[in-house]
Amino acid sequence: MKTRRQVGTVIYHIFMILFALLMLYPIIWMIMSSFKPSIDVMTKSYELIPSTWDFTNYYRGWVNGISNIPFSTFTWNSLYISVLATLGTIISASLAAYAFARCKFKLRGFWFACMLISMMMPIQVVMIPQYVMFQQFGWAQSALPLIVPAFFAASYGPFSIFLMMQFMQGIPKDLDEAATIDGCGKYSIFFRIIMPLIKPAIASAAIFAFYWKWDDFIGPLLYLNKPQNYTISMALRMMSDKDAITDWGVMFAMSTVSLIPTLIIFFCFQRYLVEGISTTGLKG
Amino acid sequence: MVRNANAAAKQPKNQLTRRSGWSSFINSENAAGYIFLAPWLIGFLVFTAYPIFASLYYSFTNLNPLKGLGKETFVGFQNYINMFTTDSVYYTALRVTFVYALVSVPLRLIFALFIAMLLNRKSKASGVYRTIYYLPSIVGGSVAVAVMWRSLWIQEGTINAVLQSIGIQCEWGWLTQPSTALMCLIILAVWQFGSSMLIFLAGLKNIPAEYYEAATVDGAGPFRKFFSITIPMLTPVIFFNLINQLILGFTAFTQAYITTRGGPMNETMFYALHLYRQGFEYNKMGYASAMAWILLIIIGIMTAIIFKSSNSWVYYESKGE
Amino acid sequence: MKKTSLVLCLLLVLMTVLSACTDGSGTSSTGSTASGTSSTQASSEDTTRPITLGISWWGGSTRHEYTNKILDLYKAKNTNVTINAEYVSWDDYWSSMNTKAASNTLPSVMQQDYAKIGQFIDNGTIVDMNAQVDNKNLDLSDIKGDAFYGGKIDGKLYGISTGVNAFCYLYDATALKDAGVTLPSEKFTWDEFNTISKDMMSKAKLATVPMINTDPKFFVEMYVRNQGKHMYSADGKTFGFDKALLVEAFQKQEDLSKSGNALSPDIVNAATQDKDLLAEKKTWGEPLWSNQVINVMKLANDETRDFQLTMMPGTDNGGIYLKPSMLWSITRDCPETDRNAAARLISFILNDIEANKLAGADRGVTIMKKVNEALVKEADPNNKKVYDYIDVVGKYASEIDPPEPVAGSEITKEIKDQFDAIVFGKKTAQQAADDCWKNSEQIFATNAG
Repeated sequence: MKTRRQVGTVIYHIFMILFALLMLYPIIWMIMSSFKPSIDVMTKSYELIPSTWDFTNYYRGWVNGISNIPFSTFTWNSLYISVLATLGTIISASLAAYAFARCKFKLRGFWFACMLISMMMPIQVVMIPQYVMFQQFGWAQSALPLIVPAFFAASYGPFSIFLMMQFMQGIPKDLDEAATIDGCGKYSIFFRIIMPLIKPAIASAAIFAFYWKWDDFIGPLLYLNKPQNYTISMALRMMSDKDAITDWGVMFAMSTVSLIPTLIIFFCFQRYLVEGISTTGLKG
Repeated sequence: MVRNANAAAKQPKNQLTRRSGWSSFINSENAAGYIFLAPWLIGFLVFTAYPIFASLYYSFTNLNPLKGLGKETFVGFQNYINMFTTDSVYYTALRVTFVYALVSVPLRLIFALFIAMLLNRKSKASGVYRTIYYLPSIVGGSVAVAVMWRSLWIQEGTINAVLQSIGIQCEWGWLTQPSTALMCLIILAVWQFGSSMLIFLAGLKNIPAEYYEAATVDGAGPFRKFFSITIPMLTPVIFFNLINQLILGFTAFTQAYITTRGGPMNETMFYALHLYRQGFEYNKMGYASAMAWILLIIIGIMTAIIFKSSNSWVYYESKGE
Repeated sequence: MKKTSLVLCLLLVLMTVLSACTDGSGTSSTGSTASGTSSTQASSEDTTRPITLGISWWGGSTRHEYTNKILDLYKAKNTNVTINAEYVSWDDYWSSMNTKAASNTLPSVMQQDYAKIGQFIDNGTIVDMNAQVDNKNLDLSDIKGDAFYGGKIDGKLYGISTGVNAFCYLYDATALKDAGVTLPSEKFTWDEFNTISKDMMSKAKLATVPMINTDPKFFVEMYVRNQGKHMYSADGKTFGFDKALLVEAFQKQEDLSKSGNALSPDIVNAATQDKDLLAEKKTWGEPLWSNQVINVMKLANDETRDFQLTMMPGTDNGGIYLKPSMLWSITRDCPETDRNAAARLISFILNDIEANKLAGADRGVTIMKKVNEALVKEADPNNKKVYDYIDVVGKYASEIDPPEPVAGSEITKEIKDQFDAIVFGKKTAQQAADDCWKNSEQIFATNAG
């Protein structure tokens, strides 16, 4: 019996490792390319391990950046925008999810449909009216259009709302009833019972909201006009020119750096996906 | 609000407490519902509803961004008619997008679920694997990914090099041949299944261990457990992933924009990309808006069908057995 | 009752918020750039009042770098001017500019592209700069000949060329000599092209690339121009040539594709500006814009290879033309009071020798005589080839066609689609031309509104 389990484990690991290598290969290529001299990146693209190592790409990108704006600046811009937006999204989305999942209010179905519809609209078509609208508010030359809507569950809100709803609907109503008997109103139930129980959903929503905001370039393109306010997603796109040679080494180096914050957020929230929950108090 | 709850708690516990006027109002389904909904509702009305209705209005006009807003004229249904009769790329874009969405979404979900099941254990190795499988999702829509993916799939790229090293002489230009270009993008989407996997993992973690324990006590084996506990308990998450991925699949834009620009021969011309070209390269924003609304209707119908069907296959713990 | 009042309260709050926000910003739509001075008379130019100018361009790191340096030079000499520069990649530039155009917030000065400028002119998005030329704020006195190169429409100056370029056929003279093949003449006739194409394949196993694979529209354009026609009719509502010419042009590609000397489409389409076919010795020559030539030489990174420029095959009868590489325009969102200042900025960028030394030929070969002399003197051999080539083109070129009509972008894509079909062997020249003509008529029709 024991050997069978050991063999099973070995096969499991072999499969997982092979699969992991397959999954990772393109990313390894990208990271390795960041250590090649720029001219080699495309001309020697078949090489995984650089034949000539160049460690200056990271320095040149981080410190020199584009036209004297270092990538450290771009990264900071991306960071504060993404963190604030994620915070806003989680707060407003969880509130709305509770309303949809646990409150029977008039027109609930209608508003839910509205929320779904807002998810289905391609950004290309709403970006001009949205821009005009923010223009009217006087926000158009700032980061406000990127941050404030998040606190009202706009942009990536619906996704998070929908996600959290699904988890909330997985919590038995008996818990709510028991709490009501104990004298809790709707609000206490939300804070004390529902929220703690949907930690995996909150974690997932946070990871996604952060990553999507981090990667977004259309918002920053329209609203951040001063290059020193640009985010890293825009900065990376600005490096390549259709007429001239791109400094690929630096671009890949900075692209690799750009992965780090999202990874950190992932690590931070990952443990909530690993913890188990139990609906104790309902035994029997 | 917490104050009220505390005040109410001071009353005798063994009866359903009778609430006073304000407290009962604020805790009523409608009031509480709208208060919790308020942030989203305000956001929707202010930030989302206006642009959406504006785009509906524009779809009936010949808006040209270069003229500036306010100079467009009403053209009725002309944009919609043109879409179906004179746009030679439109049907290709529709077909490409349908194929992309209907192939990549199920594949992604299957991989995501399969791997999530395998990784649903508390071990250090699992943590490492989870991170590795999630990594592709976060390289997202950057220029780096486009370059990387191209260098893999072009004729002299890595894929062919690997095939040659195991003896298969392959000179096919996967990304540059019209028949296989879309496949490369589908594989790109499936490669990034990590995000769906995360959500499945979250869903799996939410299944109380007691259920499995009880099942073991009853003598159920792994397959039985999977089909009778895991899958039913996961259906809300499967449902969510399905809807979400479908919407993302139909509105996909960036991958085609940066990797293939819609070529070769329009075989990767996603609907959103064609829309973007119409609106921003040909300056026919009215027409692009009309395209968007047709897409909305298509996605809306599919979503509605899935929602309707969900009554029969999605199981919510909160709705009882 | 209570529920209704709650809803009404919320609506009130919403309305208050909305109106408060909208009230506070009414003046922001008159162009994002003017500072608050209220002088309306622009007749006597006050060159010391504080002014803010917006300028936008597309490019990559290199261009952003040197352009900012040029702007710094300008600011040093004109301390009253604040410049708000916006720069992004080519892909993002037009989304951004079009959105700003829709909301009337374009920067005062914008970089323009000849293929797109027609739309901006037709829609009144950029303005006539003749006034600025007349009052000398835009100094064009040093211009080479009448080299407006397309910026002048109906006598109005909508854009001033940053520099010119032209299509060329760049070839590897070393490879040709090694294979014992005669080099093309200055004119590069079709006979020479066919011979070289055949011989290079048989003697050196080097294939020939398609006729302008990325933008076949230019190939068609030069072909019909060489027969004395124009791409578009004067009113822009139809083609300026007969279908028979389209068939002929497409036939040239079909002949090449079927000759056995053509480079495989897979290899051709895998190329990017960083993975150049000629640099990688996959072909003996390729059609390029003259300002892309230096890059290819850099990528090849091989001193022993002698790259030479010659004209596009069969364009010596006026088919070839000098094109503004890019243009500078003043937008309608530049307040009238600021237009002279905007013109002065443009003038500096075009005329200042130090500024142009920073730029080199990145924005094309300059059209100003003194700048040209200064740059040519210091040019390295490769750049000199480009300057010399532009002079050669001047001998054979006829004037550039007017800017494209509204349907232009779509027609360009249509031609590319049909051209691809020939390259991939899916259609014959006749079929492709028939389909192209039919689809184009529809495009013209839907854009007529």
